[in-house]
Amino acid sequence: MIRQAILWSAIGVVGVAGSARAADAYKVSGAEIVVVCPLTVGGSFEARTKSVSGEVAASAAEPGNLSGALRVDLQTLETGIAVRDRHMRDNYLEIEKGPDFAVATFDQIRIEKLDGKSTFKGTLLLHGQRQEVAGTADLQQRDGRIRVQAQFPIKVSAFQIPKPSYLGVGVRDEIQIKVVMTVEPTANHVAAARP
Amino acid sequence: MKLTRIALSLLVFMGAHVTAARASPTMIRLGYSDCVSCHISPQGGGLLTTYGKGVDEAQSLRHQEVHPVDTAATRLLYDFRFVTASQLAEMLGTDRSITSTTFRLQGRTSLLMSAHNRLSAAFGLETPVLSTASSSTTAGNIVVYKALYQYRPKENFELAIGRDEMPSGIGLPDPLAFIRNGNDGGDTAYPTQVKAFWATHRLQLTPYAFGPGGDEPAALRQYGGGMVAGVDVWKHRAIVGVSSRLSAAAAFRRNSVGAYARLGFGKWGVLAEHDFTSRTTRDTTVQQPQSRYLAGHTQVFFAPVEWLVTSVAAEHLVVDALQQTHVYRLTPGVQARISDNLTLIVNMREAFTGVVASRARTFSVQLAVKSVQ
Repeated sequence: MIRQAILWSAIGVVGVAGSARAADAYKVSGAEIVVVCPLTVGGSFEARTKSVSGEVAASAAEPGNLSGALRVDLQTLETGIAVRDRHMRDNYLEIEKGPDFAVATFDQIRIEKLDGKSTFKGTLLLHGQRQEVAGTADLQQRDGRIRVQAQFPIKVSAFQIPKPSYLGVGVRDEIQIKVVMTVEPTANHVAAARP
Repeated sequence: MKLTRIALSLLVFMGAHVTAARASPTMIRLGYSDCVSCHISPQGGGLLTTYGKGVDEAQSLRHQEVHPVDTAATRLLYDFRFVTASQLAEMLGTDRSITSTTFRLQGRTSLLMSAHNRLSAAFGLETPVLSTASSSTTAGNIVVYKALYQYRPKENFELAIGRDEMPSGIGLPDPLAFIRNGNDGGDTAYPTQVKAFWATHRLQLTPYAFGPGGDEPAALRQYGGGMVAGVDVWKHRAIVGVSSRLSAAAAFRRNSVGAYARLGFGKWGVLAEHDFTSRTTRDTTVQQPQSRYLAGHTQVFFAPVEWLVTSVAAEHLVVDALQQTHVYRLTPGVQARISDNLTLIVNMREAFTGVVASRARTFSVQLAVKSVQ
């Protein structure tokens, strides 16, 4: 099955910053995650998924701190080449190891501004490893919904993911996560993410 | 009647020389913005790298795990290809049709002389066109497609000297042949060249100088130089560029400019290359010494599944000489990669010159089998 060197990787993740007015809770109504993986020989490939879920809420006291979490089902990441998808899931993301490997979770989100262009930080659980990440986001309110465009880099090695490589061609250590997401108001109470 | 027969034979001849599937610029749809990651030659086509072999198999119907030789370390690389092409050509104006078949056996090899030096060659035995038309216009022959010395001091730079196809914007042999047959009828497809491939994060530059290939008529032997220059304008999925060439032969001077684009959007994309050429004869007695040619190829492709690529190509050629003539071709086609050994291509080509009697339709099936080292 998995022997030699391999492929790619792509680490689905989520980024983003939820936004909201104080104490409002929002759930994901639509999203796409694009993981841009530059190759060591030049060029790049993208792993994509629309399987994103979760709810976030702004704290009344500190609107920049969002409770809740966003989750990405890594099983659904696709790169356009089935063999590469299989290597990515089995050899690198190792999703069969359990929920902390099959799902990427983004929580403890802190965003500078809740409207317009901003910077954010958060904690990403990926490949069983929790790491703080930081990026940029653009939040636009429209018809009661909020459209979020966010981007942040991660290092594959920081998440203890084996160095992705296939037949002599590898993925560079730093990859980009791009998120386009729409969130809509929800009446649910959003619990704080697990520590 | 005789004219019809000649036209049909010509059609068969042209169609029979359809180049078999090789380079895959359609892979830009997945972010492969150049050829160097999958092919030994940065120009594309020919032998595959280890990684290219993996992608070749992964993009096939069979898509098994493969364990090819390490092309970066193996001294002698080689493969053999057998290509058969069968066609049914119809002249729609006269209701005449003929069938034809050709066979081609190719050998491709590359010798790694040192870490930075390589010799590459490709040669083939092509059978005569076996046609139902009584007057065959071709003969079987041995062709040297490539004989190159390659020097690659850095990953992103290569200097190549020898006989090869001319560099082009979209890297597809068939459109290149269409443009060449329009602008440089009778010229060699494999001129002698000195060319460099230089790529940066966004730029892809190929300056070159060239001379005759040796298999063209003396009056058509050109010497000159040119440049193919592209820039990545969108995430390794949109390369746009320009090309230019200046050359001279005993009978004429020639210059051309062109533009091209390779665009990919996941399952589909667009490949386009257009070229404007001006030729001025040295014969001062002719009424109009300058001829202009506008030739272009645009195709939209769609890959519903990894191993199947469908496409529709539109081509045009306008020759502005003593008279202005037009040729239009529309070619829907399907390429199925069954395995890394086996590729099947089915095309239908409609050619139109503006005169109803000259409308022609060609159905072609190509089967390419190759060995994998």
